[in-house]
Amino acid sequence: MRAYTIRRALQSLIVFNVVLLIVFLMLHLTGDPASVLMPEDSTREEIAEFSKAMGFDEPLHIQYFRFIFGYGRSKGVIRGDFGFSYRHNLPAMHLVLEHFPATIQLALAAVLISVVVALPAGVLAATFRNTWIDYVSTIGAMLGQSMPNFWLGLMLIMIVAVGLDLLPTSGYEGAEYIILPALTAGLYQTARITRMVRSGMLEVLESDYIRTARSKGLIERVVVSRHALKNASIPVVTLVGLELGILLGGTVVTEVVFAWPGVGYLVVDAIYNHDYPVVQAAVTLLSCIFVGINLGVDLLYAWLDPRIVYA
Amino acid sequence: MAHEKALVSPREFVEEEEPRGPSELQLALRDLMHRPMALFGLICVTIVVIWALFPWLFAPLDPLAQEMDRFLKPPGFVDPEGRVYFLGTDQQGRDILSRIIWGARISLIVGFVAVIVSGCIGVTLGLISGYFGGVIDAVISRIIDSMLSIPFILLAISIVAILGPSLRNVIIAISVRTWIVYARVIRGAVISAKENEYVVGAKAAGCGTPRILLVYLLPNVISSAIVIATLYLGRMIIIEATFSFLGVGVPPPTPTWGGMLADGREYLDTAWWIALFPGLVLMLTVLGVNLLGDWIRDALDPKLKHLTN
Repeated sequence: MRAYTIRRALQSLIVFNVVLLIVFLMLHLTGDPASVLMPEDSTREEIAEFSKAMGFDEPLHIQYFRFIFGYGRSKGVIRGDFGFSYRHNLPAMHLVLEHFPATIQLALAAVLISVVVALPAGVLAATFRNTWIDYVSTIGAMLGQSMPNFWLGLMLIMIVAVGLDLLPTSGYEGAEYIILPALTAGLYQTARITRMVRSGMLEVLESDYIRTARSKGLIERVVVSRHALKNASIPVVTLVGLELGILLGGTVVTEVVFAWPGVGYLVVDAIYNHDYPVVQAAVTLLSCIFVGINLGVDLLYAWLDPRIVYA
Repeated sequence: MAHEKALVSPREFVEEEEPRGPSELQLALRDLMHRPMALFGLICVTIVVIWALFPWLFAPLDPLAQEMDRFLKPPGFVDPEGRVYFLGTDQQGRDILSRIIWGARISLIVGFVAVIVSGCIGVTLGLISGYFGGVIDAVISRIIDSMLSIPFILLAISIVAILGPSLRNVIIAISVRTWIVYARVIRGAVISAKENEYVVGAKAAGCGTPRILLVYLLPNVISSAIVIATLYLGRMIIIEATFSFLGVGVPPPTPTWGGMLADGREYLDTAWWIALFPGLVLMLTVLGVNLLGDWIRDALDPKLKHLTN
């Protein structure tokens, strides 16, 4: 177990470094980071001056070294310093962290809603296989996977907020503000988890120990809830953990639709304004969290099922 | 003499005993007829493909023609010259139906090209990674892990924004990330396929590495790649729409479904039709592609079921 932990931790460290390299190279995609960072109406002289001041005329590996370990006033990415946001005149990471709680809230609410909807939907579909319940749940899941979530967001605003006037259209002031964004952000996950629970349950319901449980006279409800659901939920738990990681970076469009002041909203705004230090800080933070969650899930899994370590 | 009798070719033997059955294509089509979902998918996809190929045949009006005195008109509006706007007009007086039909082009071009480009990159790297193993495999695998950790949409919109919004850059931004899906699956398939006797035999017979990769391994893993392509096509279409919706996709005035939804967002309380219809068509297209993809997957390789669930 210890060797496995060390190996996985080392892998995660390497992955994190490659992420930093990608984040660094992002600005150099066009070969001219200065003109990417400067406003569109800047003159050639201004861009050249800015390029020199930022050290963009140095060789790439030196720039990367400075990006990581700092140079001059910058403390370097390794100490969380991604430079200043040009637009807000605040440290980029500070801005991202400020917007982070809103994104966590939205991601948690979305995962919560998707589990609350998907678990019963999947279990019912499997238990009543090939009845109308199964068809409704399966078709619903299929539609959910095919629907762009920002369109669902627009339709929810149109029907629930504007038409029926039940919930606010956008903003971040109270509990009722999170319902529509969470439904929107969790749409794909709901559909995915429903399908997964259904197929997991179907597999489990055909296994020997379920037949044993039935043959010893247990009523169907107990068989499903005690014996089948418990075993079918192992892969679902992993999926939910990973989906949370994906959602942290996947609520971007939802945040834009509902003007939800999270990291996604901040980043899209930063992209419109060429404020790339903020984009780099956000991408790094979210990737770092994702790597961490992945590591955690893997180690938890290895602890729960020791066979994995030797595989 | 007994030895000569045994020299009847097996082919002749089979042909005498068994009459030829239906071809694989016939079997597949027959199977399709019994699967209403897949058939529905095929119909949706066919309609959209025909729209994209010949939009001028189906679009009743010019998708770009603006007219200020007919803006935000509801579905079924008839202008003084007798032209019918079946799905209404947008904020610049353009016909929604015609824009939806022309918009199919961008969605399908981006979807198909991105799936093919990322497929070529992913299959190549997957083959190399799986066949050679060792350091090459470790490097490619860590790159894959890293790309997986970066939030897709954030990375993609940053790339398009930095490179500048255009059709080509949208495709690049999507492919930069999607190849890893192919690479992971192909790598796994190659690792198990390369132990097969025919590969070991080919190596022993002195075949060069390119020949082993292309002639012996590729045909064995290509069905997985086709399955991934059909399963990801729908997602590519949604991502293209997301780009256009956020304003970093193919720039206006080219009609795109995502761009139309961005327009509609401003008029949710007054002109519901602008945001409703393009989204509906987008959803049906993706649904059609997904249903068809499920069917292709079951036909080619049912083991890949975990990719959709």
